[in-house]
Amino acid sequence: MRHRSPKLVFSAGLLALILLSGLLAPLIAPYDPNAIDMNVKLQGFSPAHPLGTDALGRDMLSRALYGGRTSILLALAATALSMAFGLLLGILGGYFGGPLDMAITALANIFQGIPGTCLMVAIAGILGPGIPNLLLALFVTSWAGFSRIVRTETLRIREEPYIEGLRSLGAGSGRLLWRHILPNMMTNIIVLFTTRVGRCVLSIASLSYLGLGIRPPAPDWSVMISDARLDYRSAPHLIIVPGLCIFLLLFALNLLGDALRDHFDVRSREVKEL
Amino acid sequence: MNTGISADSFSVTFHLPEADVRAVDGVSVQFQEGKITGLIGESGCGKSVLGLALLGLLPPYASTEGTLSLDGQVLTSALSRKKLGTEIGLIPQNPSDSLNPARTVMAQLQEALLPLRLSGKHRNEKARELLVSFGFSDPERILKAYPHELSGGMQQRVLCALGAACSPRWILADEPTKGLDRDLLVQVEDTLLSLKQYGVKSMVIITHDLPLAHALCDSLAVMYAGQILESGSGVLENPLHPYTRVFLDALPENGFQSIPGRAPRAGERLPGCPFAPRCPSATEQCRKKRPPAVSPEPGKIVRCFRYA
Amino acid sequence: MKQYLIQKLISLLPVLFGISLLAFVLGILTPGNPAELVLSQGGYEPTPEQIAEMEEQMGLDAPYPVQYLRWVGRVLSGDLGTSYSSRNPVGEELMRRLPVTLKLAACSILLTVVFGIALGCTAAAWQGRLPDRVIQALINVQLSFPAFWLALLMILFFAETLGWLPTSGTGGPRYMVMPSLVLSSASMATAARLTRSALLEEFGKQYCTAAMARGIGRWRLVVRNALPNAVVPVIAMLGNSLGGMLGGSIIIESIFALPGIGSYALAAVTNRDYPALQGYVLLTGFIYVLITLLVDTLSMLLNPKVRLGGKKI
Repeated sequence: MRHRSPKLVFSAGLLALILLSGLLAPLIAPYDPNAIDMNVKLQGFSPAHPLGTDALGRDMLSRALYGGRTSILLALAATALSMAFGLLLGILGGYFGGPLDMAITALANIFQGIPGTCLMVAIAGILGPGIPNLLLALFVTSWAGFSRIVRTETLRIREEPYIEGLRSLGAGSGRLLWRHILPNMMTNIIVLFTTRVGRCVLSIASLSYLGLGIRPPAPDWSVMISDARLDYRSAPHLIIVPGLCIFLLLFALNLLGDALRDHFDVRSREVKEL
Repeated sequence: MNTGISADSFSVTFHLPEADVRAVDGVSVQFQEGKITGLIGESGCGKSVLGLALLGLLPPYASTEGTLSLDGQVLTSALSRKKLGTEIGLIPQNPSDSLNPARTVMAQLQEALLPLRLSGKHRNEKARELLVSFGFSDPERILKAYPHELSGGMQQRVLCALGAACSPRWILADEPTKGLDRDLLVQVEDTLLSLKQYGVKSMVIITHDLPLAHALCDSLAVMYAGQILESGSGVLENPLHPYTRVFLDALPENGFQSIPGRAPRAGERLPGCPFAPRCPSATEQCRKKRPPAVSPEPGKIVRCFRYA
Repeated sequence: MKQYLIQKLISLLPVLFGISLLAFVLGILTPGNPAELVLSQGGYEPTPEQIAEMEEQMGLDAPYPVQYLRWVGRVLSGDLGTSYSSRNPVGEELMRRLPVTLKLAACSILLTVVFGIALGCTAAAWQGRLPDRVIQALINVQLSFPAFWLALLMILFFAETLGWLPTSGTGGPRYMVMPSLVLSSASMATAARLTRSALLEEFGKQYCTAAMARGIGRWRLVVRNALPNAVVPVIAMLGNSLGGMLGGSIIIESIFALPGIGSYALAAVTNRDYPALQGYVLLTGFIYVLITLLVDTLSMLLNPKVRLGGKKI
């Protein structure tokens, strides 16, 4: 058995650190992330405020600690939701083929026919900002990608001789799908999930920056950057601190995806390149 | 002076994630200059790996022990690579996979001619000349063609032209008949022999095709499980090693008698003779100690206790 | 070949239909009464009679399928509706702004192709060695940068601190440097990674071993031998990143104040200008489908087997 690579340990450790600091934010944050104190606005690093304060005198460290909670949870939920839906459609289309497959593929093609971000902005723009609409926008724009990959994988696994053999032995479709085909693509799904959560975080951050996602005054990394649009030239720490947080989270997820790919020795090109 | 290619206790080990695999195991053999030597054995016996080592093209996860030398000069892989094309050429196996599908014959020939540092015009002339000497009557059309437009026999001849482009002294032909139709086999013999007119004096032919080896080779080396068990001239007429005998018996024309037992797995190392577990005349000694190389007849070397 | 293209075109029709349907549904989902919205622009409060009149005028009383067909008819004749906020035809406004976005996307795709492929080739040529490790680390870093953060950091560094490049607006080529660098950063990394892995896959094939045995150099092996065979998946990926760039241009154009269709869409969101948004979705979908078609054709032309047919000499 292969030993754990340093990359895997490092990325998992970094991710755990980020998640833990978000989880423990209420316990370890020195201030209320939304407490306004105009007496200390736009301060640099100091013992009282280790990462400085923003234009409203809110403590940057506390806001940074809280800043990932919403988007990480939202990204996990949106990815899980769109993945479950895409998985269901992809596996059904790939396994049963025929008109069902054609209909699903056509539907996926339509939803992939408009660049994701364009559609996301349009949906969030028309329905208005807010968590449920954001979730819907993320779901609508990402299920088709999953369904397509899962379909290709299902087609591949379905052609394996042992599946053919099981079928000739009288195994039912449901059993084959649940017991043989699904477990067979589990490693691909895990890798895909990791990278896609990262992408989802990125989408949420972009939309929130544009004012179409998580709304101020919520302590969120991208909202913090968005809030600093007027002041960042004179106080660069206002964008450097939250930006670095997003960067580290994405970096950990990307690296983890990479390490998992190596670890599971993923061969499917589509999973490899995403 | 020592001419030709020689291997001295040469081993190649692949370091794979699962285990280390010794593909070539302590081989000592001589390929004489001016002769055609056949390297024969079943697939997986390490003969192609020995060929790659000779070309200096082993993958980075391989390590070697012992030495390979050309005319007495020890070949490191960097040195072998420098000699590629001009001193050692390769005729690869599977003609259809060995030509670049995205480039014309012309582009590939011109690239093969680069070491000669000819001017553009001379290079084109030389490319045409090469194709003609490998039996193409209409070189212009072939030069413009992509590999998929050629038949298997044509692809093989193009590959011979590519290997011989810079008139190397040595050619290594790796399974030249593998993947070719039965009726093309005769053609391959002619093509390989026409290399001789191209300044190629010496050849090593890696093959499991015994009729071809018989027709072309001056001497043979029989390889099994990474080791050379018997080498020299007249191996096919008068096989000495028990493995060579059963190997010959296993040929279709000799009655297709299967060899009892199984070949050792890749990476499996036995303390004694690698063939001992399947050998009809193996003794306790064969299983415990590696037999020495002996020469019971002039020009022949056998590794077997029966002749020690 | 010709047959394949025709087939491809036909298969795109349902996608185009679906995109138009999606854009139409977005219009229906619009909160509030469109007739009221049209009339109430500029703080005016319409009477119920005026609203009813407007509804009839806009055909809002017809059932949805009829509305859809009418709308498609108008779209096909080039009428994308009238912007609520500017009262100008949406089609005209989009077309006026499209060149800016296309220029930005073209610069970005050029950067992606040049640097992405160069980095991928370098990494593959020195697989497992220092250049490869550095490039792989760079790829992961590039993929982890949110575009808007990178844009702000670049403004801070290159415009504010060093004063080398203009912060925003349009003008000479200097104005395109930062926006296209930011927009291409992630796709550059993806292209590099894909090029690298496609090249490594080619290295394992026999024609590469055979080429090496002819004594050619490492760089020549990568660029002249392996790359022409590895480039097809990279081109398919470039098509996808062009789509991503259309989306990414929303952020980039608004940060760098470029008057393209991305900043137009964002303005439409702020102004609740639904016809503009609908037109934007339709246009980007259409462009994306066109790109897909282009990419498919290009990958076919690059494969001599497909280009010349399977004929033997």
